[in-house]
Amino acid sequence: MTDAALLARAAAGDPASYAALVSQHYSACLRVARGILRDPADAEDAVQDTFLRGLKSLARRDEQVPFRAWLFRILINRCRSVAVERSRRVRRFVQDEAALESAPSREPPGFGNAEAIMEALQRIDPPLREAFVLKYVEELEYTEMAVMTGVGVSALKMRVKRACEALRPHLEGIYRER
Amino acid sequence: MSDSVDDRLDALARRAAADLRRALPDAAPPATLLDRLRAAGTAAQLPSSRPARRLALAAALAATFVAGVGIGMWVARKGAGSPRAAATAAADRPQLVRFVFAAPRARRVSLVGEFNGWNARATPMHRSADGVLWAASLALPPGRHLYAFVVDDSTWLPDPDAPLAPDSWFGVRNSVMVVSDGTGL
Repeated sequence: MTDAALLARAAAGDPASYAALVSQHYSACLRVARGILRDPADAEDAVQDTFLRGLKSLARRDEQVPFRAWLFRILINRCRSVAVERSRRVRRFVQDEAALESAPSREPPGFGNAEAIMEALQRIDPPLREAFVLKYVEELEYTEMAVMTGVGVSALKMRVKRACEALRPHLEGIYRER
Repeated sequence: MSDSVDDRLDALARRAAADLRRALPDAAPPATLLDRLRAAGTAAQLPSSRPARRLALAAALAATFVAGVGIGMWVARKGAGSPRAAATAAADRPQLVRFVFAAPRARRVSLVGEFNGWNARATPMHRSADGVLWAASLALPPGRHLYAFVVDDSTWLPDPDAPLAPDSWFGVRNSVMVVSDGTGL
């Protein structure tokens, strides 16, 4: 069922339809949040908050805006907020080398390139990171990205280009070694 | 200055993106998210005036109904939270229905259902003197009504002693109550 049909049913009072929308878009939202925030817990928090906020503002949504674009706009704003909150957290650094070596990896075995890529993404400016994730990971059109980010198409194209250029040395290193 | 990415860099970026997508496979929304959505009260946020109009009519009718005709009630067995209806109203008249739910450890309990737009803020329940039971009364028209209880704004529970609706809502089934038309349950 299309987003439009589910939205119509949700607006008519069918609670299962919003659940279906959540299920349809959850993976993509989580991918974007992981790409922007990296940390799985932060990403999950951002995504869950997104769906809750979406639920509360569903009735006020401009129906001219596609649902995914509207939803991702909420998501990106949440990711930006989470990033700011995270930067204010006090971080405890483990000095014990033995503990560091024995600590479980944050990612499952075989994560390989993806972990290195996400590390590289964290090294570039957040606006560039957002643009890269939306354009390349989610393969969105610039017009939709403009709605999601509130940034014009021309500016987004420039951000994507700058993101790629900033990532180039990291990506070349990642793929040269493998 | 050109805003396009050169072909080689574009290919590199696409390769990286493909690796990211493979490493982040599709995931289902967790049960905790669905629980939070239930607690937020889906239908209350959605533009539907039918439940509000029905409740307003029922409330207006209830004033004259209670005064002269009789009262239909759900009565709970103490400690079990089990409602039983004893409706004795004329046909088509709203029944005053009392919902009772046992939750001695709860801080807040709300009644939600189609009759109040599934809004957890619309019908807070009142705690009994012994602290065990929570109760609320509503005037409801004859017919089938779905309902549930929301505990501490976060846990959505069906009535343990009432029939369950066949459909699930965010994975949890609601309770069904049929209000008599006056001919008895």
